[in-house]
Amino acid sequence: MNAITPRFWGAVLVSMLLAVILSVVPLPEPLQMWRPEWVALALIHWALVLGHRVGLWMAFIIGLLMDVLHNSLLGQHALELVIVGYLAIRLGGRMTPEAYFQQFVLISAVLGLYMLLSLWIRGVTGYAQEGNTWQYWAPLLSSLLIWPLYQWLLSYFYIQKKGL
Amino acid sequence: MEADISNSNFHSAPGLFIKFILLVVLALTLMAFDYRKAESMAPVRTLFSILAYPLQWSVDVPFRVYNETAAFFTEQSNLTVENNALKDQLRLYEARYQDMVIVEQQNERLREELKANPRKGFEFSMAEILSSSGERVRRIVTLNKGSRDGVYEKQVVLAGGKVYGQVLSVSPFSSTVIQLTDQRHAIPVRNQRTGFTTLALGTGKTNTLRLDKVVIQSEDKIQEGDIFVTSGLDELFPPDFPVARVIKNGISYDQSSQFAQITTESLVDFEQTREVLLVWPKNHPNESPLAAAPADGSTSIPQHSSSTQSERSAP
Repeated sequence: MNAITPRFWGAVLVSMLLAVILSVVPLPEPLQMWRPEWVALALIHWALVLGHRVGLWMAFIIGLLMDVLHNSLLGQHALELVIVGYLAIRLGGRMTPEAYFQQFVLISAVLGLYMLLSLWIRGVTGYAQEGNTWQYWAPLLSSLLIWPLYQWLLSYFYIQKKGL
Repeated sequence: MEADISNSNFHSAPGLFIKFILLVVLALTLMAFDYRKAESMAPVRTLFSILAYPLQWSVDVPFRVYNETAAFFTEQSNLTVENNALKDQLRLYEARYQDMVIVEQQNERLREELKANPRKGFEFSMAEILSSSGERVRRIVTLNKGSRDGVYEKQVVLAGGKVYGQVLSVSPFSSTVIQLTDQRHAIPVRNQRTGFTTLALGTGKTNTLRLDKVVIQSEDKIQEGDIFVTSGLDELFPPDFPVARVIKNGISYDQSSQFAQITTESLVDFEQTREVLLVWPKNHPNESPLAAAPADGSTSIPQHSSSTQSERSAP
């Protein structure tokens, strides 16, 4: 059916690095709270498109890069992204790329787990969130809302050969 | 169709689960080491900071381009007006500085007579904030100066004469600074009006600090609008630099507790600050290379032209 290949060598890596940049671009305080989880979304996108050809090692290295950029515990984002990548590859194999509703369910489940994990890790290491707890989950909603647009933009990074 | 099925079937990738478990264990090990013994993970952190530096730099590019184009298109007349204003200001400060020199000499002489320890001077250098942490609860920023420029851990960082924070970790080209408002930061402070000392703790919220365990019935010790300065009791932050002000209705009493809740706002606006001052105590072994430059005869190092040289060393 459809053969999908990255547009150029290293396209996956380039798109992931762009997502990392998006995740650290300074935003004004009110918007800061709604910043979508760009990197996790990009990883899910590639897991859905390429399946197991997405390297978990790459997710791990990108995660370490995020840890340094965000000054979190070394390995925190790496762990979260590896889990996101693995789940998305395993679950994504069972759906077609056009099934938007299924995708929304998958993304909310995987991203929810991702954010829950980071909440636990922060709790253990003494960085429990103070104040409004619903604010913590705001990026989940914004990620879901931005997903169709983001997926469309990311589709530039691969070539789909139809037919045959 | 068949190719698609074999692609989507996870049994076609038998190594995936093993790889997944391996990476999870690796990540957990890293986290455990970083949590228990952060210094053992410093090489890994440094390596990735160097890799991340181009990313941070590229994030900064649009702001720099904007600043430069804005400067380029500013009208000549505006620049002249600004230039004149700055010249006037410089003359004013020159006069004040002369006065300062006299006071300082006097102070030194008096200290000598009293056999007191000589007052320590400071060297300063500007640094630019490259990026801030995306973690919501953490208040950490990255500076564009690192160990190459003489930055060291626990170095004091100021912004506009007020305390900004301290250096958390250093890599060759960049360093991270923890702001006063980070949940894990505490700074010993003194009420400028009454001399009452306490700790100012970070809250993780924008520009907000709270004071540690102030016993009730301390109206005489703390009022609204009181300014707190560093007390210098930690021997890290130099004394008498402004830190925070008690906000309106910032003092509240909880019947169940013997302590008052006191909320203050930091005097530095952390949202607006883009440039900070790094502080070196004089004769510090790690003193900035540019600050040390005049001592060994060389006049100036061109690539550090953005840095300011403290003029205290002149007399």
